[in-house]
Formats: sequence, C-alpha cells, structure tokens
Amino acid sequence: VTGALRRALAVAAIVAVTGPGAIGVGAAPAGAQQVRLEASKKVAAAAITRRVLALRELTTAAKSIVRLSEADRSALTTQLQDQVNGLSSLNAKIQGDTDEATVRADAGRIVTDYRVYVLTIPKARGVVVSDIELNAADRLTKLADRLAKAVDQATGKDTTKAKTDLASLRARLASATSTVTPLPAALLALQAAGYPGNHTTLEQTRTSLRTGRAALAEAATLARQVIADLK
Amino acid sequence: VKRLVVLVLALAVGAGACSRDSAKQSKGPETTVSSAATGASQTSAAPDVGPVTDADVTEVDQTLHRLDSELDRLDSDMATGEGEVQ
Repeated sequence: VTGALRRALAVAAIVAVTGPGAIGVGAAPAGAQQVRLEASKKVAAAAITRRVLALRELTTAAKSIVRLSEADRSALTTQLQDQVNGLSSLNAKIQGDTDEATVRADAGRIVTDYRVYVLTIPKARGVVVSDIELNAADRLTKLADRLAKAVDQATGKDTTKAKTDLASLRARLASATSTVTPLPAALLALQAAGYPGNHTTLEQTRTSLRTGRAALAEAATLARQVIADLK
Repeated sequence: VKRLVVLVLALAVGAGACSRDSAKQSKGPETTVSSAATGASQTSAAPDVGPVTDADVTEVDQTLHRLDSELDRLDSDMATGEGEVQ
C-alpha cells in the first residue's frame, strides 16, 4: 500500500508541475493543438495557392480568346476572377480561425464551394478550345470561298471533282460550326453548386469538341484535295 | 526696319515648321505601340486573295496543332481530382 501511495503521489506531483498532457493523461496539450492547427492552416493555404495559380493561368488563356463574343469572354474572365477573390477571402478566414474544427470545415469549402479542378478549369479550357475551333472554321471558310472562286475561274477544265470536294468541305465546316457554337454558353452556365450533376455536361462538351476537331481536320484535308483537283 | 521685319517673319515660319516636324516625330512611337497592342500581328500572314496554295492550309494545320494540345490538356484536366485540402 505504501508503494502504491508513493507512486500515486509521484504522478500527482508530475501532473502538477507539467500538466496532464505531458504524461498522456487527459486532453492534448495546448502546444500540440496549436501545432496541429497551424499545420492544417498551412495545408489549406497551399491548396488555395495551387488553385489560384491554375485559375490565373486560365485567365491568361481566356484573354487570348478572339472568336467568341465579348460577352462570353468577359463572362469567363469574371467567373475566374470571382473564384480567385473568393478563395483569397476564404484563405484569410482560415488563417484567422482559432480552432481545428473550424479550419477543417473551412478547408472543406475550398472543394465544395469552388470545384476548381473538377469543374472550373475543364469548363474554362472547354471555352478556350471552342474559340480555337471556331477560329479555325472561320479560316477554312475563307479558304473555301477562295477555292469556290478558283473553281468558277477554271475554264477549260473538268471541275466536277473539285466541286464535289468543295461541297464536302463546306459540309464539314457547317457540321463543326453547328457542333461547337452552342458549347461556350453551356459551359459558362455550369456552377460549382451543380456538381457532380453537371459533370455530364462537361463530358458531353469534351466529346463535342473532339467531334468538331475531327470535322475541321477533314475539312483541311478536303481543302488540300480541292487544290489538287484544280491543278 | 524692313529687313528686321523680314528676318523676324522668316524666323517665325522656320520655328513653326520645326514645331510641326517635332510633333509628328513624337506621335510616331505611340502609333507603333498602339498597333502592336491590338494584336494585329496575330492575324493571318497569308493574303486572303489570290490562288489558294497548300501554304494556306498549312496555316490552318498550325491552328489544329494548337487545338490538339489544348484538347490534350482538357483530357488531363478532367482526369485530375480535387486532391487533399486538410
């Protein structure tokens, strides 16, 4: 009994001097909690920084849009900037949070409120790709118009094949343009709150962009064919 | 007195001409910067008139190559998840 009493007194003395956490009794010490809190804040800040950098890269790409309407271009850059602003504000809040539970809840909002990687970036990229495809379609349309003049002016030649190939070229361009034209508006309407339901729209858009690209490649091949037909 | 008046008039005309030249020169670089800022150099280098050649289509091919790399990036984007945030 004396030995047990002595050990109990020794433990009580250590607890009194160092606090309960030092020997694994009771809750974690304030110092350890603070370390964990700061570590969580750093992880959240890094997650936000990565997203902001990615959004800024897409903003630069969005500014190079040449074929879409000014309204579409402006809508995209505004949406990207809104996310940058929102994430920056969220980071400020997180860095001011005083307990781990709040940091965890706010860190979760980095994903749920913005969906940067799974929605915003593919959506912005899709708009930029739409612009490139429509721009390529415009260029090929100008070529088709010039080829049509060349066919009309090719006197003394059989232009039957050239006319057929030119008609095919125009059909491919019409297909590409009609496929791609509605995509920017559909993409710009996608919001983080609609995820994951709206992910289907993203997938469909990607498929349409691939279809548009294939039609444009065929149109370019046909343009070369018409040039050859006229030689 | 007449000589003095003629001299003064000649100096005034000369100074005016110098001033106009100076103004033209000072506007030169501004115009150059302005045209560069509009991205005019990004437009097609090939003329939109005259016979169509393979070079015209090659220019479109370059746009399609850029398109391919952006489509690949889109695929890569869509394969990326949100990752850890806490």
